[in-house]
Amino acid sequence: MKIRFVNPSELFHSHGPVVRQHPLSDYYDHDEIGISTYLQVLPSIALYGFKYAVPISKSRKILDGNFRAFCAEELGIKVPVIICKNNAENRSRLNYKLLWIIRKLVGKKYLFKRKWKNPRFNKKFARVLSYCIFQKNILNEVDETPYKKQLKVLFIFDIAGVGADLADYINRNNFGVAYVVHREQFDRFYMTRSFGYNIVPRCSVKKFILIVIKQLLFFKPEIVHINAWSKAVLFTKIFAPKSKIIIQFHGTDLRGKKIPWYVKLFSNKILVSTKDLLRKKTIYMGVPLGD
Amino acid sequence: MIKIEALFTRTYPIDKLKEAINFCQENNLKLTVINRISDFPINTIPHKQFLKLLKCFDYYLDLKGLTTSDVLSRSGLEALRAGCKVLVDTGEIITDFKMTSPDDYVKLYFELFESSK
Repeated sequence: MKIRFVNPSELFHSHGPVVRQHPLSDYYDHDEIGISTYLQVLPSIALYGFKYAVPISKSRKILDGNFRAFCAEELGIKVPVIICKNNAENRSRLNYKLLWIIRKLVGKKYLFKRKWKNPRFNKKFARVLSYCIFQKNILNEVDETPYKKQLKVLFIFDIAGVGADLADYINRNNFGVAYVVHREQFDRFYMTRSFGYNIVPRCSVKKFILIVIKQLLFFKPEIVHINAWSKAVLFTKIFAPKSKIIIQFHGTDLRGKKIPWYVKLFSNKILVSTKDLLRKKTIYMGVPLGD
Repeated sequence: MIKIEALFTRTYPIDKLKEAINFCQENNLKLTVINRISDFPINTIPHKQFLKLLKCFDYYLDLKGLTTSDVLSRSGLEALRAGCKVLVDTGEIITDFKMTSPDDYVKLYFELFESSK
């Protein structure tokens, strides 16, 4: 089996107008299937491209993945397609085959292709890089701000989108340069990944610690904002001793537990995102909402 | 025509679907339920699309076992900003909430930075 890239309009027009069933048309029940699946599929394809190919028969009839083909047509992307010869009716077996092929051949290449082409991603990434090398913002003209200096802020972990929203706010208003280091496993609702300059790898804990240490050594942040992960205080103190440490707890991180001794000792401020978590020497700061 | 509908998202560890159904039956509201966690990682609704969805509803049921008039979840806050009324676990319906702006955080960063000099 070979993977080919086909224009989605070719797939639909080969069978005439009858086969064309748009997810938002009257054919589907709006409450149950139509809107919800369509809303889930479209943004994920826009962000990450295709993970699985669309199986089609020899007569170019779509066997599985009708929604995805419609999304591709709206986004103007070509669809990766596999023409099935045998066992086309046995869906589960076929899907297993497709998964294997995509992982081996196309998978990761195609994923990253789209991300690098994204102009927004490139611009913001270049901005952070330029600041690291030349110590000033080259791409954007600096507006007048109430503050004299531009800060370098690093967010470790991102819970309830606090880090991503704050980093975006700081970057947009020229208060400084900021980005988030987070694990993909915990970014359930694509909050952190929606901003291209944030670092969100899919990795184990050990690898993630190495990545964080690398950021601390090379970015040299003036302020480190840690969300929930209290052990991160220890290695920020070791690898970036001059930077100020802020730690913020959200809900179950602190509910029914004690604040660890090293957090009290090394952190400069301890924040709490809900009022029921307030204790001695903690400050209440709610969850900020982005635009 | 104005729609009077309610939205409820199922989360873990506490599932309060029964209470959501009871509230909607008492007040004659049409309920829509979204499984945000159980379908992870394939069928989750991304955050940006969720904000657009919230604007279609009048009520958001923020039932997570711990929410009060002082304690709201992130999606509860987003719902308030989108113009929904929010039901919390204590039975109150909230329309106003004092939110912290990102500017407060920036002030705190600069205060900390200048205090070190």
